[in-house]
Parts: sequence; structure tokens; C-alpha cells
Amino acid sequence: MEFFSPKNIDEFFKVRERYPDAVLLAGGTDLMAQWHNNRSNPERVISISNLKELSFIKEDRGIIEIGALTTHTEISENKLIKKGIPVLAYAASLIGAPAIRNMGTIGGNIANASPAADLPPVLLIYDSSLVLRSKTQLRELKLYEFYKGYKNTVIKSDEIIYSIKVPIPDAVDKVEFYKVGTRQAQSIAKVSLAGFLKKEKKEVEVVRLAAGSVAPVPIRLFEVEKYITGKPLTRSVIADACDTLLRYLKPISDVRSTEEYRKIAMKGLLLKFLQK
Amino acid sequence: MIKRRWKINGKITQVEFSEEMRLIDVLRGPLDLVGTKEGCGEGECGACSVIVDGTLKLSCLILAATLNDGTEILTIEGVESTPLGKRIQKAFITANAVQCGFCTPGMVMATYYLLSKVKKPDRETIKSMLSGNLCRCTGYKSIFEAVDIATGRR
Repeated sequence: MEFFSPKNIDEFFKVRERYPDAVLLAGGTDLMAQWHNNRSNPERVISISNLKELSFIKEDRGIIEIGALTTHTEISENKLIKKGIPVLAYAASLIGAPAIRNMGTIGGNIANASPAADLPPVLLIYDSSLVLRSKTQLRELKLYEFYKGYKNTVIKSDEIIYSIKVPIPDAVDKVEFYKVGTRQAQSIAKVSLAGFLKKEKKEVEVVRLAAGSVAPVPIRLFEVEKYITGKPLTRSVIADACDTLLRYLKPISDVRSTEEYRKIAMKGLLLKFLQK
Repeated sequence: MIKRRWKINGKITQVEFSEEMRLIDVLRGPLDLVGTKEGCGEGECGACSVIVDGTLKLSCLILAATLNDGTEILTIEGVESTPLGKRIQKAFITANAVQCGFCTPGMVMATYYLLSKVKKPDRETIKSMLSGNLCRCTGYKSIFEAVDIATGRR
């Protein structure tokens, strides 16, 4: 295995240019376990831990920007995040256990593109944008545009996730995150649901819903959102929303749960969110 | 080969290892610090917990080469030489918080980290901070008691 540890982002792009196939290593909580279990390492690894430019949290005109190397512990303890987007701090506090949260990064949680990742559903319903940086340019896209398929994203080999931008919602908007796992610590979600709801009098003005572990990637539930928008949350609307959800969900059975369980649990989470 | 100068348990130490080695491999291999245990090797059990630059981490999930020169590492071997560590060690003995002992180094490191951040943690905080460390013998009761004793509460 060849190992590179660029000291800053300019140096990183130089190494990256030479080795577009090298694997980028950040907190290591997924990749190190994976390499160990597969008994094989990639041919080339670029550690990005020294890129201090990627570790920051700042607020500017109602948007909180979080650098890709920010750890889950930093997210769960940060004052700006706890005040403006507290559900993200909460979701980060549910990941793994203290040592894992001290290591894992938000950029890694997004880049790894696991369907069971904890932060993406919450970032999706906050309507977050991802900032990708290459040697010569920055590009910004919505997080829901980033995922292509199972562990597959639209990032190009000359790009790195630089940061994620999260707009701060109004204090009155309802934001929730529910995670179903076997136990609280260390558990990988069987299913998860994040929801955002803004009402105009009785009717739903804006709703965003996102789910984990029910599709090949973390997804926005656009069909359900479309159905609910503009309607009052009556019992029949909620029941129809749940039917719509089940029509579009195609979860799989795997080591953590079954298709049937996932569907029932997701329906339960959506009910909980809309009824509360 | 990778060459690094780390401060391990307070002592500046020169070490050489190959690119694919994890921190746990370097600790237990060339450094002969075998107090740190490897349980699952995938970040689930906490047996390999160490403190890197003041932060609790899992040595099985750290590629050793990613730790720069000057990195400070505290392992179970170094805990005894700190006042807090000594207190924790005594508390574990008093509470009889050890059976087979395999999880103990990780438990002690997690406790050290907890008590260096929070002076008098309540039971919920203790449980949550040790939630990444599995013990299959004690049922945790005596371990939580040990942490209470180390805080001076009991």
C-alpha cells in the first residue's frame, strides 16, 4: 500500500491529480473496519486528516456551513448547530459511541453513501447543499442530487467534499428525527425518518421528508411530500400519506431487518411525525 | 516503511512500521505495549480504546501512518503514572470491576476520558460514555460503581 498525507489542500490536489484512483481516508470508522474485514487494503490511500481547511463550523446570513472534516462530537456539541439546527446535533449524538463520534466526520458520513447513514436524512430535510471543490473550481449542489445508487455518488475523481451548507429554519417549523435500531449505542439504523413541516394556518405549506435504510441511498420522499402539501393534516390525509409512502418504498431484507418490518416501522414513524 | 516520533505515555518514542498497519498493530507489535487489547477489530467493542491528543479513539480504526510526528498517545500502560489514572485504577480494584479482564484496559481509558471532561458525572452520563465498551462478564454494575468511586462520590 502506498500512503500519502498532504499537508494542505493545494498539496492534496497535486497528489490527487497523479492518483485519481487513490482512496481518500478521513475518520476511518467505515473504511478501516471494511479493509480489516476484507483482509485487503487499497493500493493507494490519501489521508485527508491534515487538511485543516476542511474543519470548521460557521454561520453566514442564515446558513450554517460545516467543513467536511468536522467530527460527530463537534457537531453534537457546537453552539451554532445546537441553536440553529438542533436536530442535526441530536442525530450526530446518536451515532456509534463516544470514541466513534470523536473519529467519524460529516464528510465521510455523506461520501460513504451508506443507505443507513444517520446524518443524510436530517441534512436532506433541512434542504442542505453540498460544496464540492476541485483544483480550479467550487460547485454547489443539493444533497439529494448527490446520490446516484448504492454507495455511488456524482462526485468526480478530481473533487473533494469541501463543506455542507444548511439553511436555518424558522423557530416555529417542526423538525424531527427518528431512528430505529437494536439498542441505543453503536446501532446502525434498521430504518430512520427525518421530517420538516411548515404550516400556513391549518394547511401544510412546506413539508420535507427523508428516510434511511429503505432504499439503496438516503432518499427524499418527494411523492409523499407532494401529496401532503397544501392539505390540512386530517386523519384521512395522514392515512393516504402513509399509503403513498408504502407504494413508493422498496426496502430490502438484510442482516439488520426484513422488508416487511421496515415497511411497517416506516409507516409508524411517518404517522408519529404527522400526528404529533 | 513509515517513521514517526510520537509522545507515548509521556515519552518521546521513535517508531517504524509499514503503511497498512493500524495503531493497535504498532502498539502491540513494535512498541510491545500489549495492555491494549484487540476485540472485534471493527469499532464495536471498545477494547482497543486509547487516548490520542486528549481524545478517546479506537486504535483498531486508526491507520497508524495518519498520526503525525508529535502525536500524544496515552495507553493503559501510561494511565498509572497520572493522578486521575491512579484513582481510576484503585476504584476498579475496590469495586471488583474486573472478571476476565479483557475489556478492562478499554473501560479504564473510556473512564479516564470521561472524568477528564466531566468531574462528577451522573449514572446516565457514565452509561452513555461507556456505551462503546462491551463487557461480557460483569453485567456492568461493578464497573459503573468503580466510576462512581473514582469520582469520590462513594
